[in-house]
Amino acid sequence: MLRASISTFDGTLSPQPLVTGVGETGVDHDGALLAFVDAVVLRDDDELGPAREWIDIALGPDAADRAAMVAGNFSMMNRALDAIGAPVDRGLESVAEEMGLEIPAHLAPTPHPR
Amino acid sequence: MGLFSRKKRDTTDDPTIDDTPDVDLRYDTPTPTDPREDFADLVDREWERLANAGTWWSGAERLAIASDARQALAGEELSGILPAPVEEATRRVAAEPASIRGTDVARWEMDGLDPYGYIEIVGIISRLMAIDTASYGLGLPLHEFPTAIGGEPTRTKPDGSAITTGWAPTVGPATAPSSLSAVPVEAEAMFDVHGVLYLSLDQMFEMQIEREGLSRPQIELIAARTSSLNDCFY
Repeated sequence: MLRASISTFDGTLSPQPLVTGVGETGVDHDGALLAFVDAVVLRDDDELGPAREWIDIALGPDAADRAAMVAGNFSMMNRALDAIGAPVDRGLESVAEEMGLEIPAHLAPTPHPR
Repeated sequence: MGLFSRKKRDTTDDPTIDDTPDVDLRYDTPTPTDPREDFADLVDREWERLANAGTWWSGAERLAIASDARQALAGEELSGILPAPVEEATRRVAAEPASIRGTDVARWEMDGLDPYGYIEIVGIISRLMAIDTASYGLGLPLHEFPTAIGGEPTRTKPDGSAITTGWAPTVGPATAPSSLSAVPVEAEAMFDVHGVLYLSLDQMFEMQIEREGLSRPQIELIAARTSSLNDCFY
């Protein structure tokens, strides 16, 4: 979805920072967004205040609120998918390779017997 | 009011009358919703769902699962009131979801946890994590749990549900939209949360959509980083 959406804006995605949390992805204000998401998902009390201030300044308080909600949504979806063992979509194989990630055998994009 | 309003006016040759068309063409656009109000309404709906009997668990059991899930994520001791396989499933879904394997779900079933009951556990905890994570980012305290409401679980299974490409039952292949489909009310609740916090299913295909000033790529950046932090491949 990220790659598809960024391509509609004629942008190019560098996915590695999505794993490392550091670097430029090609998305506007990615530094502020990554810092805020890290603080929210990891429930980092020390980092939340500064990260919130950064995103408030960069994108506005409403955008910060929405960012918190999106992080919440994917904390839900991640659990639902991991818990039922949904295989990874074949289309993600190339993205995983680009990010230097190996798809675990138990999530391989082929049906697996229980 | 209709789509737009017009004031009728007599236009004669009288020079004292301003002939400028007095038509108010401002559209009566729907009142923009406040995301924080939408979130508060969502919490109300979710808390009502949580307190009531579901398909496989009573309201008291659903609340116990939710409470233990919070404890597990905080690394604290669980209540000990849930049966062993339910407690383990609760802890794993809340705090270590990426560690779950098909062998775990099969073992829990052998120990008495029905796979459909497991799906409801996944629904309860995953939505709780959505609410709690968003609350934290919004600077809100964790919402106090409601009081259980009576009622009996219906224990119904939808036609066509089975274990297919995942390791728990779904209707059709195991994918994001079908993840909780073996317990339809849990799936509907997930879509409710999904629409308020992220995008509705219809909006998913709008690559240029914006929400509160966040572009779609920015929204998807948040989604991808969240998944990475949760050790989730999707």
